Amino acid sequence: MCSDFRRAESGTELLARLEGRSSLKELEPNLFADEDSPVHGDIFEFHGPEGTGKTEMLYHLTARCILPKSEGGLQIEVLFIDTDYHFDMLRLVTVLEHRLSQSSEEAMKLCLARLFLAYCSSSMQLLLTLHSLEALLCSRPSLCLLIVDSLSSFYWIDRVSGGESVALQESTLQKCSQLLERLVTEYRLLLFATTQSLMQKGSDSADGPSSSKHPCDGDMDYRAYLCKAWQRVVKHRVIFSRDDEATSSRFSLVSRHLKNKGSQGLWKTSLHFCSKKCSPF
Amino acid sequence: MGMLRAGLCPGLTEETVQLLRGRKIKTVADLAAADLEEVAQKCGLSYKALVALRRVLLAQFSAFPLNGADLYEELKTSTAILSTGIGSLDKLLDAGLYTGEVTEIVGGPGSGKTQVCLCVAANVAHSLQQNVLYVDSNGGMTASRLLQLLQARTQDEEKQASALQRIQVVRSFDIFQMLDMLQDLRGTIAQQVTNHLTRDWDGRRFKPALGRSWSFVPSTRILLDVTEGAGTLGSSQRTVYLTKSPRQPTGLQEMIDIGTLGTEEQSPELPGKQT
Repeated sequence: MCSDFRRAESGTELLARLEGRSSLKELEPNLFADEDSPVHGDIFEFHGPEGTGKTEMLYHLTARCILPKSEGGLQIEVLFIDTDYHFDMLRLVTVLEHRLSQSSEEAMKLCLARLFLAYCSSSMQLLLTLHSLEALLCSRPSLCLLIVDSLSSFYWIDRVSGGESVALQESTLQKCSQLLERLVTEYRLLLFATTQSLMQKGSDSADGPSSSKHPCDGDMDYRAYLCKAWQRVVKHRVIFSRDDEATSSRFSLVSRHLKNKGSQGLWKTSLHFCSKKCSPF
Repeated sequence: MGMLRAGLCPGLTEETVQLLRGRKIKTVADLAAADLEEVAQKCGLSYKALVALRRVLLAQFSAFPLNGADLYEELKTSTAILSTGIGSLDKLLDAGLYTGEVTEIVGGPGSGKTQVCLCVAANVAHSLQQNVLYVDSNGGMTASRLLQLLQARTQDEEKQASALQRIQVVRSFDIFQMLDMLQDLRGTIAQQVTNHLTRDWDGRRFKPALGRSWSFVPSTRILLDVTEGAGTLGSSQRTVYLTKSPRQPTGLQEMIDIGTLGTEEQSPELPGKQT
């Protein structure tokens, strides 16, 4: 259906499509090292325990994208797929209000009109939603950013419904990962997906079905438990953590470029979340 | 979910289902991923019909993307912040319990979790005149205490009675009763849950029970603890710590007295706030 659409595209539409999906380099300079700055076709995974600021970071990235160019944004559209019904519109509005020079209702509505939100309550629904995205992506050339929060919400439910067979347990998420990769490559999107640290590191008898000890992950708080198809597709992984002290509001990020065999590609930074923007220490 | 069968959507006949099954297309997801031109050729079905079928099924089973501006408009009218009736707790929670969110109260035995729940129920039913569903899974709910809290707020017996009528109590003592009850819930609500404390695996720190997977669910978490140096055993002084919040920095703390909950002076601002 979409291929018919694309064949009938005119020259101006083609330009609009390519131009719309333009530079995302300036997405969040504080967050990404120069060589790691996001480009089209990149897939980022935000990983971390609860309360470490993954969703908060997504709000800041979303705000940066949907703000108009005059206010320091990128003026591109964002699709946010929420699988654990955590999306806090009021928080996003607060972040936007602090960044807008004059926070009028009109300006807010214009920004929010660039955001699309889909709620999924099962991995099957997530898969079907991704299939139905092609129509949306064709008709909205300025939609460059895809966010999935979070990809691991259905992990336990899938494990239960898959019975004893690991392949069956992982099949839906595997199809989702492959479909995400195809969409991101074909439509030149950028994908940010969060995953929760569901597995304890250290002595834990419950092994995830596909947990494998990558030699390069040995030094970090990361235990792979999602399917191998997803592990293959992720290009960058950012591990979130926070200081244990109750009074501290400092969050730490460690970002690793996974496809770069040559260099280590490790980037560490500390962040302080306030409503204006992420400011590094 | 998602097995193809006749009548699942208009245009899906038994014949079509059988033909598709012959090509190993059994679920909606299989159809969505299939190469429809190839299927049309091999099955003898019309390509246009298959495309239409795929579109209808996807529209039916996938999540429709909502526009942010529309969602914001809707939330502006339907979101409310419910005051807990305890001034210092409201300060921690940034004015109260937000609808559409889960707030978790964590504490050891005797720390006052049930007292706080009863006080919030009484406040919401009486001052805010809203309905309350109180789910009791450990037998801590006593109607007489609820009445006491209401009597401290108003002497008018009719008002007490109508407030009590707005509170519906459900006792569910196993997980299946709980799931049944939750599945029947409708409407915009603010959820407040209590949780116990347990020790970390290496015995050093206390942490909320129910493990990691649960810990991602609540947006806000407060910890109730007996105030240090409170003096005699059986003291009713408690310290409340904010340990997780989407809006405030964590580490804030306040003191409350669970013996006099609800009888303290009312906070000067309006108890409920519409956003």
